[in-house]
Amino acid sequence: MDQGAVGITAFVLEEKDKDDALSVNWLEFLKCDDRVSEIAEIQQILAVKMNRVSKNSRIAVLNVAQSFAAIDRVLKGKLNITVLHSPTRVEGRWDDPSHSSIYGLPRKEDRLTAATALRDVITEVHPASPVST
Amino acid sequence: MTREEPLPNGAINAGNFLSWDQYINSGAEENLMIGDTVRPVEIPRATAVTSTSQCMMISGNTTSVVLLDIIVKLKEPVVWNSITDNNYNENLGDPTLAVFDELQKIRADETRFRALFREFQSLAVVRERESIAIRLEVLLGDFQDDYGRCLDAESMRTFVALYSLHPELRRPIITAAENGNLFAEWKTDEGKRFLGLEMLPTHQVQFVAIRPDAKYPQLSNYTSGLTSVEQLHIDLASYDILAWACAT
Repeated sequence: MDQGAVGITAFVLEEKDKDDALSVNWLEFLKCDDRVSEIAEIQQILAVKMNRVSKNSRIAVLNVAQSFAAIDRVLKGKLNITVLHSPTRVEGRWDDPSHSSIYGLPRKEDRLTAATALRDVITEVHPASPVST
Repeated sequence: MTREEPLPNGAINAGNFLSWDQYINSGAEENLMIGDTVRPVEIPRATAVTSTSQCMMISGNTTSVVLLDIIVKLKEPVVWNSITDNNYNENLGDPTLAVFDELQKIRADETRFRALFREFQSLAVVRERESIAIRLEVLLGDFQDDYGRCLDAESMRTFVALYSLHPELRRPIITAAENGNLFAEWKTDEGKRFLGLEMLPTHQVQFVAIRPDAKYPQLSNYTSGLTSVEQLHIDLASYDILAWACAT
């Protein structure tokens, strides 16, 4: 985040991203009553999973259909983007049952175009750690 | 009509995913794992996915979750004690050389980055130099907090080269990827025009640019590619970036 805007870096695959997949979480899987509870759940998972959640970190919410459409619009069907539920856990440490992955994002050509398309369909942004009161 | 088939190992195409989505919506089984069986059902793609949202972790610097584990490992050696941690030494070999080489590299990277940062600050003609410098300082601090290392010096060199050539450029949104590369983004207020750059070593930039179509302004044209900072405005001549990215 810079000046309140989410940078396209958030959607760019890194060298360390195994299986060419971008990690996400599937909100509806959590079966919470509302978005506030869903975000709280994700914040809790992140706090356990990560050594430290930076105060500048954010959670962005995207709609899958809108994401597919946005990428199709700019890359004219060149990519085959899929989203897969891929629950992860480290025994005795943390469990991330709603973890999912976006597959098919490019690593070289078009990577910034795809990242820009995804960034442009962000519907909500929330703090990645609970806001202290 | 449906048929059962094993879920391919990790790689599920759009059709399978949608079938799986439908399967989940049926309430029959929610915690589906790789290797389980699914019932593919022919359903329209849009119908299947509109109700599903995704939540993504975004850092001020990057999206990483996994890399933090690596950083923890990177930080461990700093507190490694050669007297009390002999078992660690026996099991993993002598960590000292690799560890201190790594530490030395981190320090050298920061020294190089700082030198280039000062070079940027000395570019008196850069229009929003102060604001950009403050942002870079904050970003560097956040990045070091998150990853225990410095932003990439060669990426910073390209950033400095860009502003040496085009000091009239406005202050962009500046972020960094996990590998330490700097990203800069400019867009017009109404969002019709956009330029995003990843600063790569040796004055190269990966770019994406958007502009309204000349004939149908309600449509957007996209272009992307790899070029040098020196060639950028020529390669993007029809996108007229200097005209709007430098405008007040």
